[in-house]
Amino acid sequence: MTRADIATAALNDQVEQRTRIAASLMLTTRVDTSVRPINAQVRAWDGTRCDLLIVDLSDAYGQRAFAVAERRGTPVLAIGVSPPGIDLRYDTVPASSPAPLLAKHMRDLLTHGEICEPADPVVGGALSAICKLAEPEYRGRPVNAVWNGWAIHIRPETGRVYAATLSDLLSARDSFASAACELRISTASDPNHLAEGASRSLEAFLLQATLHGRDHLPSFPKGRYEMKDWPDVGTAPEFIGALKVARSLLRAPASARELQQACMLGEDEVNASLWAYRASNLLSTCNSINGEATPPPTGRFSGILSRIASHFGLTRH
Amino acid sequence: MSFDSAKLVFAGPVGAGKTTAIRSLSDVAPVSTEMPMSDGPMGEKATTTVALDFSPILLDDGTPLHLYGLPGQEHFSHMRPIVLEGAMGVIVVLPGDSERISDECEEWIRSIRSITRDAGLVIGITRTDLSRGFRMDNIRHAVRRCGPPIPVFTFDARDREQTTHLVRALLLTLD
Repeated sequence: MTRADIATAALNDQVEQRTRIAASLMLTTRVDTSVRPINAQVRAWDGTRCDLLIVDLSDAYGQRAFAVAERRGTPVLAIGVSPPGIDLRYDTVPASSPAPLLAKHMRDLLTHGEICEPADPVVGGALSAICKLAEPEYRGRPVNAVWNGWAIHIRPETGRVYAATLSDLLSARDSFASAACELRISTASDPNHLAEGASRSLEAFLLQATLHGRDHLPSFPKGRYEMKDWPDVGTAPEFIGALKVARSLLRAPASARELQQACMLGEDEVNASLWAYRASNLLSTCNSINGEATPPPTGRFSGILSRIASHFGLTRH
Repeated sequence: MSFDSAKLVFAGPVGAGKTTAIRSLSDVAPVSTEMPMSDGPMGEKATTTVALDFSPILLDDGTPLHLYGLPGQEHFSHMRPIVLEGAMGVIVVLPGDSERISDECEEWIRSIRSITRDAGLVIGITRTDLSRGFRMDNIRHAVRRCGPPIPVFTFDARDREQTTHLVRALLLTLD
Protein backbone atom coordinates (compact mmCIF):
# COMPACT_ATOMS: atom_id res chain seq x y z
CA MET A 1 0.00 0.00 0.00
CA THR A 2 1.22 3.48 -0.86
CA ARG A 3 1.21 6.17 1.79
CA ALA A 4 0.60 9.83 1.06
CA ASP A 5 0.80 12.98 3.10
CA ILE A 6 -1.80 15.49 1.88
CA ALA A 7 -1.89 19.07 3.12
CA THR A 8 -4.76 21.52 2.70
CA ALA A 9 -4.62 25.30 2.76
CA ALA A 10 -7.41 27.91 2.79
CA LEU A 11 -10.24 25.45 2.02
CA ASN A 12 -13.71 26.19 3.36
CA ASP A 13 -15.35 23.67 5.70
CA GLN A 14 -17.39 21.92 3.02
CA VAL A 15 -14.46 21.40 0.65
CA GLU A 16 -12.23 20.34 3.54
CA GLN A 17 -14.81 17.73 4.52
CA ARG A 18 -15.14 16.40 0.98
CA THR A 19 -11.34 16.26 0.70
CA ARG A 20 -11.15 14.04 3.77
CA ILE A 21 -13.89 11.79 2.39
CA ALA A 22 -12.02 11.64 -0.91
CA ALA A 23 -8.86 10.60 0.92
CA SER A 24 -10.70 7.74 2.58
CA LEU A 25 -12.12 6.70 -0.81
CA MET A 26 -8.57 6.33 -2.17
CA LEU A 27 -7.93 3.76 0.53
CA THR A 28 -11.11 1.76 0.19
CA THR A 29 -12.02 1.82 -3.53
CA ARG A 30 -11.01 -1.50 -5.01
CA VAL A 31 -13.36 -1.80 -8.00
CA ASP A 32 -10.41 -1.65 -10.34
CA THR A 33 -7.90 -4.13 -8.96
CA SER A 34 -5.11 -2.59 -11.01
CA VAL A 35 -5.40 0.53 -8.86
CA ARG A 36 -3.32 0.42 -5.72
CA PRO A 37 -5.01 1.70 -2.53
CA ILE A 38 -3.48 4.87 -1.13
CA ASN A 39 -3.37 5.42 2.61
CA ALA A 40 -3.59 9.21 2.70
CA GLN A 41 -3.33 11.38 5.79
CA VAL A 42 -4.95 14.81 5.41
CA ARG A 43 -3.72 17.69 7.54
CA ALA A 44 -3.64 21.46 7.55
CA TRP A 45 -0.65 22.87 5.69
CA ASP A 46 1.99 24.01 8.18
CA GLY A 47 4.85 24.92 5.88
CA THR A 48 6.44 21.48 5.89
CA ARG A 49 6.79 19.19 2.90
CA CYS A 50 3.88 17.05 1.74
CA ASP A 51 3.06 14.78 -1.19
CA LEU A 52 0.10 16.81 -2.42
CA LEU A 53 -1.22 20.28 -1.62
CA ILE A 54 -4.93 21.02 -2.02
CA VAL A 55 -5.47 24.72 -2.02
CA ASP A 56 -7.94 27.53 -2.67
CA LEU A 57 -5.97 30.06 -4.71
CA SER A 58 -8.48 32.85 -4.25
CA ASP A 59 -7.14 33.20 -0.69
CA ALA A 60 -3.83 34.95 0.09
CA TYR A 61 -2.78 32.18 2.48
CA GLY A 62 -3.55 29.63 -0.20
CA GLN A 63 -1.40 31.55 -2.68
CA ARG A 64 1.48 31.55 -0.20
CA ALA A 65 1.18 27.78 0.31
CA PHE A 66 1.02 27.36 -3.47
CA ALA A 67 4.21 29.39 -3.97
CA VAL A 68 6.07 27.20 -1.48
CA ALA A 69 4.75 24.01 -3.12
CA GLU A 70 5.80 25.28 -6.55
CA ARG A 71 9.29 25.96 -5.28
CA ARG A 72 9.52 22.45 -3.87
CA GLY A 73 7.96 20.75 -6.87
CA THR A 74 5.02 19.47 -4.84
CA PRO A 75 1.91 18.56 -6.90
CA VAL A 76 -1.01 20.94 -6.36
CA LEU A 77 -4.74 20.46 -6.73
CA ALA A 78 -6.31 23.92 -6.96
CA ILE A 79 -9.92 24.35 -5.89
CA GLY A 80 -12.16 27.02 -7.42
CA VAL A 81 -11.10 29.70 -9.83
CA SER A 82 -7.43 30.67 -10.03
CA PRO A 83 -6.80 34.40 -9.99
CA PRO A 84 -5.02 35.90 -12.99
CA GLY A 85 -1.25 35.87 -12.85
CA ILE A 86 -0.91 32.39 -11.34
CA ASP A 87 0.54 29.89 -13.76
CA LEU A 88 -0.91 26.50 -12.83
CA ARG A 89 0.80 23.38 -14.10
CA TYR A 90 -1.74 21.24 -12.30
CA ASP A 91 -5.50 20.64 -12.31
CA THR A 92 -8.12 23.09 -11.13
CA VAL A 93 -11.46 21.69 -10.04
CA PRO A 94 -14.68 23.50 -9.10
CA ALA A 95 -15.33 24.00 -5.41
CA SER A 96 -18.57 22.05 -5.80
CA SER A 97 -16.81 18.88 -7.01
CA PRO A 98 -18.07 15.74 -5.25
CA ALA A 99 -15.72 13.57 -3.19
CA PRO A 100 -15.29 10.80 -5.83
CA LEU A 101 -14.16 13.38 -8.42
CA LEU A 102 -11.75 14.91 -5.92
CA ALA A 103 -10.45 11.41 -5.16
CA LYS A 104 -9.80 10.79 -8.86
CA HIS A 105 -7.80 14.02 -9.23
CA MET A 106 -5.91 13.38 -6.02
CA ARG A 107 -5.03 9.85 -7.11
CA ASP A 108 -3.88 11.05 -10.53
CA LEU A 109 -1.64 13.70 -9.03
CA LEU A 110 -0.22 11.35 -6.40
CA THR A 111 0.51 8.53 -8.81
CA HIS A 112 1.88 10.72 -11.58
CA GLY A 113 3.96 12.76 -9.20
CA GLU A 114 6.51 11.23 -6.91
CA ILE A 115 5.07 10.19 -3.58
CA CYS A 116 7.72 10.62 -0.93
CA GLU A 117 8.32 7.29 0.74
CA PRO A 118 9.76 7.49 4.24
CA ALA A 119 13.41 8.39 3.98
CA ASP A 120 15.73 5.45 4.16
CA PRO A 121 18.72 5.72 6.49
CA VAL A 122 20.49 3.25 4.25
CA VAL A 123 22.42 4.79 1.37
CA GLY A 124 23.58 2.24 -1.18
CA GLY A 125 23.59 -0.50 1.44
CA ALA A 126 25.22 1.49 4.22
CA LEU A 127 23.98 3.92 6.85
CA SER A 128 24.47 7.62 6.15
CA ALA A 129 27.28 9.21 8.16
CA ILE A 130 25.03 11.13 10.50
CA CYS A 131 22.99 8.03 11.39
CA LYS A 132 26.17 6.04 11.95
CA LEU A 133 27.60 8.75 14.17
CA ALA A 134 24.42 8.69 16.24
CA GLU A 135 24.91 5.00 17.08
CA PRO A 136 26.37 4.02 20.47
CA GLU A 137 29.48 2.60 18.78
CA TYR A 138 30.59 6.04 17.59
CA ARG A 139 28.65 8.52 19.71
CA GLY A 140 30.84 10.67 21.96
CA ARG A 141 34.08 9.12 20.69
CA PRO A 142 36.86 10.63 18.56
CA VAL A 143 35.97 9.68 15.01
CA ASN A 144 37.62 10.28 11.66
CA ALA A 145 35.35 10.37 8.63
CA VAL A 146 36.55 9.92 5.06
CA TRP A 147 34.54 10.17 1.87
CA ASN A 148 34.96 11.32 -1.68
CA GLY A 149 38.28 13.06 -1.24
CA TRP A 150 37.73 14.82 2.07
CA ALA A 151 38.51 13.83 5.64
CA ILE A 152 37.23 15.33 8.86
CA HIS A 153 38.13 14.68 12.48
CA ILE A 154 35.29 14.75 15.01
CA ARG A 155 36.44 15.41 18.56
CA PRO A 156 33.60 15.54 21.12
CA GLU A 157 35.96 16.35 24.01
CA THR A 158 37.06 19.60 22.41
CA GLY A 159 33.60 20.17 20.94
CA ARG A 160 35.19 20.76 17.54
CA VAL A 161 35.37 19.20 14.11
CA TYR A 162 38.63 19.63 12.18
CA ALA A 163 39.64 19.40 8.54
CA ALA A 164 42.69 20.26 6.49
CA THR A 165 40.85 23.06 4.70
CA LEU A 166 37.64 25.04 5.03
CA SER A 167 36.60 23.59 1.68
CA ASP A 168 36.81 20.07 3.13
CA LEU A 169 34.67 21.13 6.09
CA LEU A 170 32.01 22.61 3.84
CA SER A 171 31.99 19.57 1.53
CA ALA A 172 31.62 17.29 4.54
CA ARG A 173 28.84 19.42 5.98
CA ASP A 174 26.89 19.33 2.72
CA SER A 175 27.02 15.55 2.33
CA PHE A 176 27.17 14.27 5.90
CA ALA A 177 23.44 13.57 6.14
CA SER A 178 23.28 11.68 2.85
CA ALA A 179 26.68 10.14 2.16
CA ALA A 180 27.74 6.73 3.43
CA CYS A 181 31.12 7.94 4.69
CA GLU A 182 33.62 5.63 6.24
CA LEU A 183 33.85 6.28 9.98
CA ARG A 184 36.80 5.15 12.07
CA ILE A 185 37.30 5.57 15.78
CA SER A 186 40.59 7.35 16.36
CA THR A 187 42.85 5.56 18.81
CA ALA A 188 46.09 7.40 18.15
CA SER A 189 47.04 10.81 19.54
CA ASP A 190 45.97 13.63 17.32
CA PRO A 191 48.74 15.03 15.14
CA ASN A 192 49.85 18.60 15.88
CA HIS A 193 48.72 19.84 12.49
CA LEU A 194 45.08 19.02 13.32
CA ALA A 195 44.47 22.40 14.95
CA GLU A 196 46.32 24.24 12.18
CA GLY A 197 43.68 23.55 9.54
CA ALA A 198 40.05 24.62 9.66
CA SER A 199 37.79 23.86 12.59
CA ARG A 200 34.40 24.76 13.95
CA SER A 201 31.91 23.88 16.64
CA LEU A 202 30.90 20.22 16.41
CA GLU A 203 27.25 20.83 17.27
CA ALA A 204 26.93 23.73 14.81
CA PHE A 205 28.53 21.56 12.11
CA LEU A 206 26.17 18.64 12.75
CA LEU A 207 23.14 20.92 12.91
CA GLN A 208 24.02 22.54 9.60
CA ALA A 209 24.63 19.09 8.10
CA THR A 210 21.29 17.66 9.21
CA LEU A 211 19.26 20.73 8.32
CA HIS A 212 21.00 20.98 4.94
CA GLY A 213 20.25 17.30 4.26
CA ARG A 214 16.94 17.08 6.09
CA ASP A 215 15.22 15.42 3.12
CA HIS A 216 17.61 12.47 3.35
CA LEU A 217 17.13 11.82 7.04
CA PRO A 218 14.93 9.00 8.31
CA SER A 219 12.38 9.69 11.01
CA PHE A 220 14.05 9.84 14.39
CA PRO A 221 13.22 6.75 16.50
CA LYS A 222 10.04 7.16 18.51
CA GLY A 223 10.46 7.87 22.21
CA ARG A 224 10.93 10.66 24.68
CA TYR A 225 14.26 12.42 24.87
CA GLU A 226 16.06 14.92 27.06
CA MET A 227 19.25 16.96 27.17
CA LYS A 228 21.54 17.83 30.08
CA ASP A 229 23.77 20.43 28.40
CA TRP A 230 23.11 23.21 25.91
CA PRO A 231 24.54 22.51 22.45
CA ASP A 232 27.20 24.91 21.21
CA VAL A 233 25.24 26.36 18.29
CA GLY A 234 26.39 29.99 18.50
CA THR A 235 27.95 29.78 15.04
CA ALA A 236 24.73 28.44 13.51
CA PRO A 237 22.48 31.45 14.19
CA GLU A 238 20.31 30.69 11.16
CA PHE A 239 18.64 27.79 12.98
CA ILE A 240 16.49 29.44 15.62
CA GLY A 241 14.11 26.48 15.71
CA ALA A 242 16.90 24.12 16.74
CA LEU A 243 17.70 26.44 19.64
CA LYS A 244 14.10 26.21 20.82
CA VAL A 245 14.24 22.41 20.54
CA ALA A 246 17.32 22.38 22.79
CA ARG A 247 15.63 24.65 25.32
CA SER A 248 12.55 22.46 25.39
CA LEU A 249 14.57 19.25 25.88
CA LEU A 250 16.62 20.84 28.67
CA ARG A 251 13.43 21.79 30.46
CA ALA A 252 11.51 18.50 30.19
CA PRO A 253 11.63 15.19 28.27
CA ALA A 254 9.64 15.23 25.05
CA SER A 255 8.84 13.23 21.94
CA ALA A 256 9.33 14.60 18.43
CA ARG A 257 5.63 15.36 18.09
CA GLU A 258 5.52 17.14 21.45
CA LEU A 259 8.52 19.22 20.39
CA GLN A 260 6.72 20.27 17.22
CA GLN A 261 3.83 21.54 19.31
CA ALA A 262 5.87 23.08 22.13
CA CYS A 263 8.20 24.93 19.75
CA MET A 264 5.69 25.46 16.90
CA LEU A 265 8.06 23.89 14.38
CA GLY A 266 7.69 21.64 11.38
CA GLU A 267 8.35 17.91 11.54
CA ASP A 268 11.51 18.03 9.42
CA GLU A 269 13.15 20.79 11.50
CA VAL A 270 12.58 18.89 14.74
CA ASN A 271 13.73 15.65 13.12
CA ALA A 272 16.97 17.24 11.86
CA SER A 273 17.64 18.83 15.26
CA LEU A 274 17.19 15.50 17.06
CA TRP A 275 19.60 13.72 14.72
CA ALA A 276 22.21 16.45 15.19
CA TYR A 277 21.92 16.43 18.98
CA ARG A 278 21.99 12.64 19.10
CA ALA A 279 25.10 12.50 16.90
CA SER A 280 26.80 15.09 19.13
CA ASN A 281 26.05 12.87 22.15
CA LEU A 282 23.97 15.48 23.96
CA LEU A 283 20.60 13.76 23.57
CA SER A 284 19.60 10.87 25.80
CA THR A 285 16.55 8.66 25.94
CA CYS A 286 14.26 9.35 28.86
CA ASN A 287 13.27 6.14 30.61
CA SER A 288 11.58 7.79 33.57
CA ILE A 289 7.91 6.93 33.97
CA ASN A 290 7.47 10.27 35.71
CA GLY A 291 8.34 12.19 32.57
CA GLU A 292 4.99 11.88 30.79
CA ALA A 293 3.82 15.46 31.30
CA THR A 294 3.35 17.52 28.15
CA PRO A 295 6.30 19.90 27.78
CA PRO A 296 5.40 23.57 28.24
CA PRO A 297 5.50 25.91 25.23
CA THR A 298 8.95 27.25 24.40
CA GLY A 299 9.66 30.76 23.21
CA ARG A 300 6.40 32.43 24.29
CA PHE A 301 7.08 35.79 25.92
CA SER A 302 5.05 38.59 27.36
CA GLY A 303 5.70 42.22 28.22
CA ILE A 304 9.06 43.69 27.46
CA LEU A 305 10.61 40.24 26.93
CA SER A 306 8.20 39.77 24.04
CA ARG A 307 9.38 43.00 22.44
CA ILE A 308 13.03 42.10 22.93
CA ALA A 309 12.43 38.59 21.54
CA SER A 310 10.76 40.11 18.50
CA HIS A 311 13.64 42.57 17.97
CA PHE A 312 16.18 39.72 17.99
CA GLY A 313 14.16 37.50 15.66
CA LEU A 314 13.09 34.94 18.24
CA THR A 315 9.38 35.49 17.71
CA ARG A 316 7.30 36.77 14.87
CA HIS A 317 6.30 40.43 14.89
CA MET B 1 9.55 37.04 35.84
CA SER B 2 9.41 40.82 35.48
CA PHE B 3 12.13 43.40 35.22
CA ASP B 4 12.26 47.05 36.24
CA SER B 5 14.16 47.99 33.11
CA ALA B 6 15.41 46.46 29.92
CA LYS B 7 19.05 46.07 30.65
CA LEU B 8 21.52 43.57 29.25
CA VAL B 9 25.06 43.36 30.65
CA PHE B 10 28.23 42.00 29.05
CA ALA B 11 30.80 40.73 31.55
CA GLY B 12 34.10 38.88 31.40
CA PRO B 13 37.85 39.31 31.65
CA VAL B 14 39.96 41.92 29.88
CA GLY B 15 40.32 41.45 26.13
CA ALA B 16 37.60 38.82 25.75
CA GLY B 17 35.50 40.84 23.29
CA LYS B 18 32.77 42.49 25.38
CA THR B 19 33.05 45.90 23.75
CA THR B 20 33.20 44.29 20.30
CA ALA B 21 30.04 42.28 21.03
CA ILE B 22 28.19 45.42 22.13
CA ARG B 23 29.32 47.20 18.95
CA SER B 24 27.98 44.24 16.91
CA LEU B 25 24.51 44.55 18.39
CA SER B 26 24.29 48.34 18.43
CA ASP B 27 23.07 50.58 15.67
CA VAL B 28 25.07 53.45 17.11
CA ALA B 29 28.63 53.54 18.42
CA PRO B 30 28.68 52.75 22.16
CA VAL B 31 29.82 55.26 24.72
CA SER B 32 33.02 53.74 26.08
CA THR B 33 35.41 54.62 28.86
CA GLU B 34 38.48 53.25 27.13
CA MET B 35 41.89 54.15 28.58
CA PRO B 36 45.42 53.00 27.67
CA MET B 37 46.26 49.75 29.47
CA SER B 38 48.38 50.43 32.54
CA ASP B 39 50.56 47.34 31.96
CA GLY B 40 51.12 48.07 28.29
CA PRO B 41 49.37 46.60 25.22
CA MET B 42 48.02 43.00 25.19
CA GLY B 43 48.75 42.00 21.60
CA GLU B 44 46.79 44.36 19.38
CA LYS B 45 44.71 45.56 22.34
CA ALA B 46 46.12 48.84 23.66
CA THR B 47 43.13 50.18 25.59
CA THR B 48 40.71 48.75 28.13
CA THR B 49 37.32 49.66 29.60
CA VAL B 50 37.77 51.30 33.00
CA ALA B 51 34.21 52.17 34.08
CA LEU B 52 31.68 50.77 31.66
CA ASP B 53 30.53 50.59 28.06
CA PHE B 54 27.03 51.74 27.25
CA SER B 55 24.85 51.59 24.17
CA PRO B 56 21.08 51.73 23.74
CA ILE B 57 19.08 49.73 21.21
CA LEU B 58 15.63 50.95 20.28
CA LEU B 59 13.03 48.17 20.18
CA ASP B 60 10.25 48.24 17.60
CA ASP B 61 7.90 50.23 19.86
CA GLY B 62 10.62 52.74 20.76
CA THR B 63 11.43 51.20 24.15
CA PRO B 64 15.19 51.36 24.75
CA LEU B 65 17.15 48.23 25.60
CA HIS B 66 20.29 49.30 27.46
CA LEU B 67 23.48 47.37 26.79
CA TYR B 68 26.23 47.72 29.40
CA GLY B 69 29.76 46.35 29.41
CA LEU B 70 31.51 45.73 32.71
CA PRO B 71 35.21 46.48 33.06
CA GLY B 72 37.13 43.20 33.08
CA GLN B 73 39.85 44.03 35.53
CA GLU B 74 39.46 42.71 39.06
CA HIS B 75 40.23 46.07 40.65
CA PHE B 76 37.06 47.45 39.02
CA SER B 77 34.91 44.68 40.54
CA HIS B 78 33.16 47.26 42.74
CA MET B 79 31.36 48.37 39.54
CA ARG B 80 29.61 45.00 39.15
CA PRO B 81 26.72 45.39 41.66
CA ILE B 82 26.10 48.92 40.37
CA VAL B 83 25.87 47.93 36.71
CA LEU B 84 24.07 44.63 37.34
CA GLU B 85 21.27 46.29 39.29
CA GLY B 86 17.99 45.44 37.51
CA ALA B 87 19.64 43.55 34.65
CA MET B 88 17.43 40.99 32.86
CA GLY B 89 20.43 39.05 31.64
CA VAL B 90 24.21 38.77 31.59
CA ILE B 91 26.38 37.54 28.74
CA VAL B 92 29.78 36.46 30.04
CA VAL B 93 32.35 36.72 27.26
CA LEU B 94 35.45 34.56 27.74
CA PRO B 95 38.59 34.27 25.58
CA GLY B 96 38.92 30.73 24.18
CA ASP B 97 42.70 31.03 24.00
CA SER B 98 43.08 31.62 27.73
CA GLU B 99 44.76 28.78 29.60
CA ARG B 100 42.56 29.56 32.62
CA ILE B 101 39.25 29.61 30.75
CA SER B 102 37.53 26.90 32.83
CA ASP B 103 38.51 28.63 36.09
CA GLU B 104 37.52 32.02 34.69
CA CYS B 105 34.17 30.60 33.63
CA GLU B 106 33.45 29.30 37.11
CA GLU B 107 34.69 32.51 38.80
CA TRP B 108 32.51 34.77 36.66
CA ILE B 109 29.39 32.64 37.08
CA ARG B 110 29.82 32.60 40.86
CA SER B 111 30.62 36.31 40.96
CA ILE B 112 27.49 37.25 39.03
CA ARG B 113 25.27 34.80 40.89
CA SER B 114 26.48 36.31 44.18
CA ILE B 115 25.11 39.67 43.00
CA THR B 116 21.94 38.64 41.15
CA ARG B 117 20.07 35.36 40.92
CA ASP B 118 17.21 36.71 38.80
CA ALA B 119 19.19 37.62 35.71
CA GLY B 120 19.54 35.09 32.92
CA LEU B 121 23.09 33.99 32.17
CA VAL B 122 24.87 32.73 29.07
CA ILE B 123 28.54 32.16 28.24
CA GLY B 124 30.02 33.30 24.93
CA ILE B 125 33.52 32.09 24.05
CA THR B 126 35.60 33.95 21.50
CA ARG B 127 38.80 33.06 19.64
CA THR B 128 38.45 29.27 19.84
CA ASP B 129 40.05 29.15 16.40
CA LEU B 130 43.28 30.53 17.91
CA SER B 131 43.48 27.98 20.69
CA ARG B 132 44.99 24.50 20.45
CA GLY B 133 44.12 23.57 24.00
CA PHE B 134 40.46 24.57 24.08
CA ARG B 135 38.15 21.82 25.41
CA MET B 136 34.41 22.29 25.54
CA ASP B 137 33.99 19.37 27.98
CA ASN B 138 36.06 21.25 30.59
CA ILE B 139 33.85 24.32 30.22
CA ARG B 140 30.70 22.21 30.61
CA HIS B 141 32.12 20.62 33.77
CA ALA B 142 32.81 24.10 35.15
CA VAL B 143 29.25 25.21 34.37
CA ARG B 144 27.77 22.10 36.03
CA ARG B 145 29.75 22.81 39.20
CA CYS B 146 27.93 26.14 39.43
CA GLY B 147 24.34 24.90 39.16
CA PRO B 148 21.77 24.26 36.43
CA PRO B 149 22.97 24.21 32.81
CA ILE B 150 23.33 27.53 31.03
CA PRO B 151 24.04 28.08 27.33
CA VAL B 152 27.72 27.99 26.36
CA PHE B 153 28.31 29.14 22.80
CA THR B 154 31.50 29.69 20.88
CA PHE B 155 31.03 32.76 18.70
CA ASP B 156 32.66 35.57 16.78
CA ALA B 157 31.98 38.80 18.67
CA ARG B 158 32.36 40.76 15.41
CA ASP B 159 29.46 38.87 13.85
CA ARG B 160 26.10 40.52 14.55
CA GLU B 161 24.04 37.37 13.90
CA GLN B 162 26.21 35.18 16.13
CA THR B 163 26.10 37.73 18.94
CA THR B 164 22.35 38.00 18.44
CA HIS B 165 22.08 34.23 18.86
CA LEU B 166 23.58 34.55 22.35
CA VAL B 167 20.83 37.03 23.21
CA ARG B 168 18.21 34.62 21.84
CA ALA B 169 19.56 31.82 24.04
CA LEU B 170 19.52 34.16 27.01
CA LEU B 171 15.88 35.03 26.35
CA LEU B 172 14.92 31.37 26.07
CA THR B 173 16.34 30.77 29.55
CA LEU B 174 13.91 33.44 30.79
CA ASP B 175 10.67 32.29 29.10
